[in-house]
Amino acid sequence: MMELLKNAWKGWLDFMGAGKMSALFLLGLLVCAYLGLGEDRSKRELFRYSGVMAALCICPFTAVLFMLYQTKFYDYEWIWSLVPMAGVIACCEVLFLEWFWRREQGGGVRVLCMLAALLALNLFSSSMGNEKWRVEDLGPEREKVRAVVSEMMRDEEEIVLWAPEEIVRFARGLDGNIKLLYGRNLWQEHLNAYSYDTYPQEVWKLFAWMEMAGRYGRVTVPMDLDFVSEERGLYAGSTLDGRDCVETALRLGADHILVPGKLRMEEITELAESLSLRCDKLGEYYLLKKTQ
Amino acid sequence: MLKLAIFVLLFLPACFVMGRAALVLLYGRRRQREFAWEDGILTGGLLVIGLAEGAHLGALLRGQSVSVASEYLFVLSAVAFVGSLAVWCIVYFRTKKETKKGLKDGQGDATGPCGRIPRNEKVLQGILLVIFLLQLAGLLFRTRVYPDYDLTLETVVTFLKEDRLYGSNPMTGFPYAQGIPSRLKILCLPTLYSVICRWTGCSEELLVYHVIPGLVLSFAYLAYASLGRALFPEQGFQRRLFLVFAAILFWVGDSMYGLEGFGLLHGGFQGTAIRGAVLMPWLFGLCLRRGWKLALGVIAAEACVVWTLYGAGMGAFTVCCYALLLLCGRRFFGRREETK
Repeated sequence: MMELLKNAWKGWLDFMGAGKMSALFLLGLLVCAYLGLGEDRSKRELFRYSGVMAALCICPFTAVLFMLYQTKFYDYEWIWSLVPMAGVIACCEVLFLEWFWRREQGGGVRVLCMLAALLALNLFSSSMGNEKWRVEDLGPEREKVRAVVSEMMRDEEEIVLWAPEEIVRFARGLDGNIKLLYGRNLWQEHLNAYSYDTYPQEVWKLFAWMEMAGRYGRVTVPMDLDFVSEERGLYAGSTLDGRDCVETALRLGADHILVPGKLRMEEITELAESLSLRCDKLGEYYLLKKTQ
Repeated sequence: MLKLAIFVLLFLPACFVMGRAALVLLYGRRRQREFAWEDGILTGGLLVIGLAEGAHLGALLRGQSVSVASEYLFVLSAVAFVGSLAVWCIVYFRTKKETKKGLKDGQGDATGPCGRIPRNEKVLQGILLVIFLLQLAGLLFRTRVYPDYDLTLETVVTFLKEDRLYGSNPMTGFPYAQGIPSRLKILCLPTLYSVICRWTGCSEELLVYHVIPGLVLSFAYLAYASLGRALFPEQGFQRRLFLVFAAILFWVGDSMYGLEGFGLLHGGFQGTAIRGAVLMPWLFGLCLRRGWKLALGVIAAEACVVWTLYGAGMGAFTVCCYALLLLCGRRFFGRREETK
């Protein structure tokens, strides 16, 4: 229970930290209440409902109940779907502007200044460049992967691919003929809620080797601390051998292996030859393929 | 591309016709006039979700094939559209006849309720249109998508590649080893998107990342227009100003995953975005106007597009809380306040 309460309180702090819309919402309600705006039935009902629900969402005890209702699958911020935040803020701003217009008896310039101030207030309640939720244009990144994928699929109908994270991230969305040894749900674990399947330890080793090979540019790599996990069979101080990993991938069914181009050419060619694989350069990567 | 353009252009008018007919059936010929044109389109959107759910479940329970779902959806949509068109035509001509008769008898106003729009309202409409077009252009020409919590695109690609619903894990392309939760299986959006891709021949990426978010954005504006009408029924200027502020708040509200602006601008294809930006604002408007029957439709639509697990969803919870507050309000503040 304490854990849930802590999550609810932390959720509220994160929610406040990401943007100031909730503050603007509360300010709007307070200003309308103080000035006695929105006295007709519909606005009064909306404000009353929103005020009560917002208070219940902020209070950790009731927030926990709401979170339990929507099940723990969804995070804290989703309980704010119960509060019509944008609608209430917009309504408060319209009422305030109307009140100001009446007070100024149509003083055009002052009303325009107030309108500009309200718009500025709205803009200041945004994330203001908060990096955590900054969404970049995926287009260029996808195009890069699309070029690699289309080159790889030129003479193929269906392949089983083992590749670095940046390729795996987009491959299935770009071409349904590509099967993967692991999908992005390996590292984006919340996506595992969409199926009961799990990955065995050997697949975790493949993932760790592929990412560290890209970092170190070597076939045999030391285990980085950010990959260490005993339950996944990734131990601190151990090393991962590229040859073992490639053999595992072949055993699991991979027929195309894309490794980072940072690896030394001699090392990767030697590895490919020792396992009777063909090695070609493909953009920033080496492509290891089973010879026919 | 041409097929897709035709589909998009026909979608909103078809929704309007079906929605209007549904409103007649739900509320009767006279009371349905209380609902504006945006409610008609939104109700049509609910019907589309309902039809997609029917086709999806039909295919899932029988053949588990996208082709079967596509055929079902085509037949269901055709029947619903023709039936709605018939109902809408009957109501339209009967209303027109009554209006003419009323005018002949000297009752009613020849100019009708829709007068000329004042200039200041036109300016606001222009501003609103510019903001909407900028947001739409952002959705159509850029891929500012946040896919980390979502696998819709991969699911649609897998459905179409295999012509099978939930046969393989969309993340890997291999058959499921343990399967997926059945509550997830009944959600209809991936099937709807797959069927639209099949009908129009457009790529999955174009539909899921660009076209659907554009449509959802349009529906979000309609939902806020409906909420605005509930809040400012007789004040056109305030209603339009309300929409302008709401449109700016869509931009501002993209500061965090889970907020409606974020869903709308970075994941409009997700069920949670449809719920947050379309269903919930519309539901609040319906609660204010006591449109309880339609509210039930919204609750059902949410169950078809969002994984609510064992919770009955945000819509049902909202309506219950709202009704509870109404009862409490009456008890504490008395009926006198209700007539204010």
